[in-house]
Amino acid sequence: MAEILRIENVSKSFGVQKVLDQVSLSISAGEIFSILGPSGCGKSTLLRICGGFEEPDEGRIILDGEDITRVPPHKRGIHTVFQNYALFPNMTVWENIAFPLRIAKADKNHIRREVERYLELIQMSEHAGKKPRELSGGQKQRVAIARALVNRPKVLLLDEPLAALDLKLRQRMLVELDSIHEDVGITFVYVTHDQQEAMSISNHIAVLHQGIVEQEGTPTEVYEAPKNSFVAAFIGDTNFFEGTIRDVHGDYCILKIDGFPSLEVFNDKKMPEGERAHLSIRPEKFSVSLEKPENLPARTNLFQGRVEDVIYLGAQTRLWIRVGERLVSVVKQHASFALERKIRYRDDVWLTWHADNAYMLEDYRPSDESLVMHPDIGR
Amino acid sequence: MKTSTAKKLNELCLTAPSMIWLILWFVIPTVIVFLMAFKPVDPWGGIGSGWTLQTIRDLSNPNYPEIVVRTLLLGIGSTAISILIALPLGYYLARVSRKLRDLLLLLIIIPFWTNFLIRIFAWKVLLHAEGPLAHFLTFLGLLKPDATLLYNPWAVLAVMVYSYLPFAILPVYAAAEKFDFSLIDAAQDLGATRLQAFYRVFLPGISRGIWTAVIVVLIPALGAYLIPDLVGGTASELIGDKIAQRTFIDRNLPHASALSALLMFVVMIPIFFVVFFTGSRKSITGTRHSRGVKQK
Repeated sequence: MAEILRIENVSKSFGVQKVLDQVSLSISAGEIFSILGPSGCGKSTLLRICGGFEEPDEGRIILDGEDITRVPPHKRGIHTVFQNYALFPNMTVWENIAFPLRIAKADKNHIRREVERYLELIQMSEHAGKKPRELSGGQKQRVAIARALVNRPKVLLLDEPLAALDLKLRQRMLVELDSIHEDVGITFVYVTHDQQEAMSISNHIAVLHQGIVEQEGTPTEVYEAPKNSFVAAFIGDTNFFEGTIRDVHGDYCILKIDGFPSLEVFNDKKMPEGERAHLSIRPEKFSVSLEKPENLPARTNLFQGRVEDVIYLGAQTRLWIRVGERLVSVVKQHASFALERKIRYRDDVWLTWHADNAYMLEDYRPSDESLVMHPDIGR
Repeated sequence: MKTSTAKKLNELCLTAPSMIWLILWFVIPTVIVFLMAFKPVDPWGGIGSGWTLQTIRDLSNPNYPEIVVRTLLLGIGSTAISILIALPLGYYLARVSRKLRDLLLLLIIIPFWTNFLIRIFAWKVLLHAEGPLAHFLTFLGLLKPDATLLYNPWAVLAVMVYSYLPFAILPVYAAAEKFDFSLIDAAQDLGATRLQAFYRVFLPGISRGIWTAVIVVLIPALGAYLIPDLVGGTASELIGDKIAQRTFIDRNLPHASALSALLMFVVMIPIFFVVFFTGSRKSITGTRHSRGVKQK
C-alpha cells in the first residue's frame, strides 16, 4: 500500500521535558493506524503536531509526498475528531457538518447533498435540526466524525474518540467506526490508551511510551511477539521469566530459571549457551487441569502448582498459581460449563505449556513488572 | 392538582420579595414620572393640579429632533466603538496567563476608584487648547494653533467611550472566559482561517456577552448628561442635558418627565429589538433546517 503520512524523526520538548524523542512512523493510505500508549506518553502531542497545532523541534511531517511541517492547520488535508467532540454549540447538527464545506465555499447543492449523505452514514438524518446540547454522547461523537469526514481529508486523526463513552456504547461505536472507515476509505490515525480498542480496530499499531516508539506492527505481531517488557506488559497481561540458556538443541533450548522448573523453549533469537534471557508468557498460553494430562505433544512443559487466587470473569477465569517460588498468572477459557469440575482456591493443579509459545524479549526493564497484573494489587 | 397549586404558592412566596422591591422602587416611580408629564406646572416650580397635554405639545420644540438624533448617534457610536475595542480585548484577556489577566483586569477596574467627575475633568485638561494633546497635535501640524479639541461632539464621543468601555469589556470577557477555545482549534482544523474562526465560532459563542455589553453601554450613553455638559459645549447637547436643565434650572418637572418618558421609549426600542431579534433568529434557522431535510 502507498504511504500517505510519514512522521520523520519528530522530537518535541516542553521546557526541560522531552515529550517526543525521534518518533518515526509510516502510515499507509486507507488503513487504520493506532498510536497506543499510556497517558503522558506523548501521543496527544504527536497528534497535535500532525494537525498543525504544535510545531516539532526537529523532524518533518510528510503528507502524500508534501512536507507540511510548517503548514497552518487550516491548509492541511488533515482533519481531527477531538476528544471532547468540539461541536459548535451555536450551530445545528446540519450546520456543524456543513461547516467545513461552507468554509471551503463549496457549491450549495453539493453541500446539501454531502451533508445529507453523511447524516445518513451516521444515522442522524432525523436529528439534523438539533443543537449539540440536545444530543447524547454517542450522537455527538458521530456528528464530530461526520463533520471531520465531509470535506474528505487525506487523513483523519481521532484523539481518544471513545474515551468519554460508557463501555457498551464504546464497543458499538468501535464497530460503527470500522464500518464508516470501510465506507469512506479515508486513512484513520487513531490515538488511544485502550489496548483493546487499538487491537480490535487497527491494521497497524505503534506503541508509544515516554516519547519513544517501543514497537510498531500488526496487532498480532505486537501482542504475540512483543519486543520488550513494556509492550508485553502494557498490551494484555503476561508473565516474565528470567533465566540462563542451557542445552541448545536445534531451534530449541532449555531455560534454567531460579526457583522455577526449567523450561524447554523455542530459541527464536538464536541465543548462545550461557546467555541470560527474558521470556514473556501470556496467561492464556498455559493450560491448567486437575488431572495429570496424558499424551502430551513433544516439547510440552509440564509442572505442578497450587492455586492461590481465583477471579471469575464470566467468559474466563483468572488464576494465580504458585509454582516453585513464582506466582504464575493463568487465564482459563470456559469452553463448557457443566462438564468440568471448577478449579478452586488451594487446588493442586497441573500446568502445561508448549515450547513454541515462548517469546524472548529483546529488552527487559524491571520497572515494567508494575504493569503486570498481580493478586496483591489493591490489597 | 393540589400539589401544583401548592407549588405555585411556594413560587409566589419565593419571588414575592423581589417582586415587591421591583414594584416599589421601579414600577411606581416610572408610573409617577409618566403621569407627571400630563400635569401642569405651577408658578413656583412645583406641580399644579389637574391634567394637561401642554407639556406633550411642548415636545414639538424645533430644537428637540436634532438633540434626539445627536443623542442616538453618540449613544450608538460610543456603544459600537466600545464593543469593537472590547471584543479583541476580551478574547485576549481570556487567553493570557492568569497572572497577566488579573493585572489587566485590575488596570481596567482601577479608574473606578477615582470619582467620575474628576476623571472627566482630567479629560478636560487633556483636551484643553493649552493641554498636552493639543500641543502635540499642533507640533505635528495636524491641528491649527489656538484650535480646541474640547466642546464638540467628538470630545463627547471620546469621553463616553472612555467612561463606558469597562462596562463593555467585563461582560464580553466574562463570556469569553467561559468560551471553549478548543472550538477555535476545531474550526481551524476544519479549514477556517483564524479570522473565520473568530467571527464564525467565537463571536456567536459569546453573543450573550456582546448583547449584555450593548445594553449596559447603550442605556447610560443615551441618558448621559454630565459628559456632554462638561466637555460638549452648547453644540453637543443631549437629551440628558435637557432633562437636567428642565429639572434644575427651569423647575419644569412635567417637561422633564415628558423628556424622560421620551428617552425611555428610545431606550426600550433596542431592548425589544434584541429580545425580538434573538427570538426570531432561532425560528429562522429552525425552519431552514426542517426545509433542508424535506428536500432530501
